[in-house]
Amino acid sequence: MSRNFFRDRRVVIFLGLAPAVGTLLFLFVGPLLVALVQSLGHAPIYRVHRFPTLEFHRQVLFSTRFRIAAVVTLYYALVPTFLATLLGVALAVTFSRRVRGKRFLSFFFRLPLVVPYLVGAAMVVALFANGGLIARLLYAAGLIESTGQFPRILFSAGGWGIMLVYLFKQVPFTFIIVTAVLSGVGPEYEEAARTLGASRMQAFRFVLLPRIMPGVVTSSLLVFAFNFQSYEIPYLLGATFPATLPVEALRRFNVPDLTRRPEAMAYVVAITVISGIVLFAYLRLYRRWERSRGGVG
Amino acid sequence: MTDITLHGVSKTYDMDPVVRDLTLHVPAGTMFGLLGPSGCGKTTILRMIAGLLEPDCGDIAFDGVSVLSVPTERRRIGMVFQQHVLFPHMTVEENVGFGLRMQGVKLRQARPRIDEVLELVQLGGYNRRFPGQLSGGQQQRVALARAVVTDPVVLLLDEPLSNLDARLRDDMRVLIRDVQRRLGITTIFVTHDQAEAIELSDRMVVLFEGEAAQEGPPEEVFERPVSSRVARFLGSTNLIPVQVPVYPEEGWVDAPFGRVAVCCGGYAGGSVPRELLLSVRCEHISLHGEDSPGTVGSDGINTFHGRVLDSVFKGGLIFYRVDLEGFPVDVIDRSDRQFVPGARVVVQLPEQHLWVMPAVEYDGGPV
Ligand SMILES: Nc1ncnc2c1ncn2[C@@H]1O[C@H](COP(=O)(O)OP(=O)(O)OP(=O)(O)O)[C@@H](O)[C@H]1O
Ligand SMILES: [Mg+2]
Repeated sequence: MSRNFFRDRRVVIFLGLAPAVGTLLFLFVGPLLVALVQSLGHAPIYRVHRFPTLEFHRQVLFSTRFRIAAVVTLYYALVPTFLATLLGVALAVTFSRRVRGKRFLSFFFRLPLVVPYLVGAAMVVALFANGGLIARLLYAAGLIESTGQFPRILFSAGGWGIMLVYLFKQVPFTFIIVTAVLSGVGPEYEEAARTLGASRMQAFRFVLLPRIMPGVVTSSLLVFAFNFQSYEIPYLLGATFPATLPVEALRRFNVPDLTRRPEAMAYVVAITVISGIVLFAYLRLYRRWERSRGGVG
Repeated sequence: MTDITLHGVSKTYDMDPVVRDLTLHVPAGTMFGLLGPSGCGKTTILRMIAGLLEPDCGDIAFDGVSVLSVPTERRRIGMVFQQHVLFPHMTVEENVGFGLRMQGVKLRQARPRIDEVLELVQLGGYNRRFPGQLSGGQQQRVALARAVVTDPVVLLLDEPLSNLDARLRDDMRVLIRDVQRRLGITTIFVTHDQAEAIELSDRMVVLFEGEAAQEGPPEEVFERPVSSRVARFLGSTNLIPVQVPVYPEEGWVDAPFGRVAVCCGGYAGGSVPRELLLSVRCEHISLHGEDSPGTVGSDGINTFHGRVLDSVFKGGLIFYRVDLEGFPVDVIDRSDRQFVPGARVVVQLPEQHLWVMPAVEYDGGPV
C-alpha cells in the first residue's frame, strides 16, 4: 500500500462514508440476509437444519393463496399510488398558480401528513363503516332504509377501506413533494409557454411535466414501496380472504409451530423481490421515456 | 398592425396599489418604451397586456377590441421575460420552435423558419445546444428569437438587453429595431437605460409608482420634462433654481450666476410662479476656452464665465463639473480637447435647449 493510498479522494470518501454505510448495511441488508438464509432452511433456533433447500419457497410460491395474495397486494398498492400521484400532481399544479386562498387550502391539504396511518384507519372506519357516520347520515336523510344497506366498503376484497386510508395520507404526500419541486420551477415557465400559444394543458404537458417528472417518479416510488409492504392497514381494514402478502407473512409468524418460520421468511423474501422488480421496471421505463425525449441530464 | 390601448387600468397586490388608473395609447407599429424606477410596475403592466394578470379595473384593447376575455395563448403576443425563462429541458431549436409546435407545425417543417430566426439573432448553428450551455446574452437572444418566430402582432420586451455587454447591446438594439420595423410589430419594451430609450423608442412613457408621469416622443420627454422628478430620473440634467425678475421681462429669468434668456416653459398659462427650475441637459451645454472668445455666439447671450472643478474622460466623452459663480453645473463634452481642473472657461447655455418648469410639483408636494 503506497503512501498515496490515503490521499486518493475516493479512498477518503469511502472511509468517510464507511460508518454510515456500515450501519445501513447492518440494519437493512442484514435482516434481509437472515430472512433469506432462514427461508433456505438454515434456522437452528427453530430447529430447522435443512440448508440449502428450496422446499419452503416452493411451498409458498406454488400455493394459490400466495398468488392471490400477490395479485391483491399489487392491486391495493398500485391503484392508490396511481390515484394519489394523479390527484397530488393536479392539486400541486393548481396551487402553484397565483390563486386566491391558496395558503389556507394548502395548509388544509397538508394536515393528513401529521396524522398517523392508524388514526387515518380509525377515521375511515368512523366514516365508512356500515354503522359509520356516512351510513347514518344517508339513513337520516332517508336515502337508505337501514344503515345495513350501506355498501360494504371496509373489510371487503375490493379493499376500498385500505385504499382510502392510503389516499388520505398519500395525496398530501405527493402534493408536498411536487409542490416543492414546482416551487423550484416557478410559474414563469408556464407563463412563457402560454405567451407562445400553449393552452394550460399543453403548458403542463410540454413544459411543467418534464420538469417535475423526477419528483413525481420519486414520490410515486416511495408511495408504492410503502403500500406494497405495509401490513397494518390491510390487517385492520382488509378482508380475511384474500389477504395481502405482508398479512399472510404475519399470519405465518403468528402460528405456534416454530418450524414453519422459514415459510414466513420465504414470504418476506418474495415481498422484497416482487416490489424490487416493480420498482426497477418502473425506473427503467422512466429512464427510457427520459431518453426518448432527448435526455437532459 | 395592431394598436394597444390601456384605459384606466389599475392593479393592486395585497392592498398595495402597483398600477394606478393608467391610460396609454400605443400606436400601431410603434416601438414604445416604458421607463421607470425599479418596482414602479413595468413588469406588471406587461403581464396585464399579455393576459398573465388581470387588471382590477379598466380595459385593455388591441385595435379597439377589448382583450380582457381573451386568454394569453390567443392574444398573438410574443414576450421576452426579464429572466428570459428558456425551457431548460429543450434544445435551442426546440425552444425557438415551441410556438410553431403549439400551432401544430412539426419540428422538421419548422426548421427553416427556426434557422432563419436564429440567424437573425446571430446564433446560427446553436440549434442543438441546451440553454444551460449558453451564456446569459445568448440565452436572451434565444428568448427574443422564440418570441418573434410566430409573427406575433404585439411584442412585449422586459429589459431585453440587460444581460448583454456594450457591443452586443448595440448590435441587439439595431437588431430589435430592425426586426420590429420589418415585421411592423407593435412593441412595448421596458428599459432602465436612457440611451436605449432614446435610440429605440418612437414614443415613451415615464412611470412613477404605477402612474404615468409623462408620455411622448423621447426627445420631448428628455428635453422638456414636466417635473423635476422626471428630469432627475432621466439624469444627466442640470436643474438650476431660477427666479422671475422683480420687474418681469419677457423671456428672462435670474439664475444664481446671472440673467438667462429662455424661450419656453413647462407650466400652463395663468400666473407664473416666481420660483422656477431651469433644466438643461448636460450634453447641450457647450464649453469654450476663455482665450478663444471668437467661437462663442457673437451676441454673447447666455454665456457665462466659470472655472473647471473636475474633468473625467469616459468612453469618448468628457464629463465636467464647472463652477459658475459658486453654482456647480455639469457638462458632457464630445470634443477632443480637454480642459484641466482650474482652467477658466466660457459656458454657453443654448436658448433652444433650455426648459423652465415650476419648482414645486403640481400636487403641491416638495420637489
Ligand atoms: N406577485 C406579486 N405579489 C405581490 N406583489 C408583487 C407581485 N409582483 C410584483 N409585486 C410588487 O409590485 C410592484 C411592481 O412590480 P413590478 O415587477 O411590476 O416592478 P418593475 O417596474 O418591473 O420593477 P423592475 O424594474 O425591478 O423589474 C413591486 O413593488 C413588487 O414588489
Ligand atoms: Mg420588472
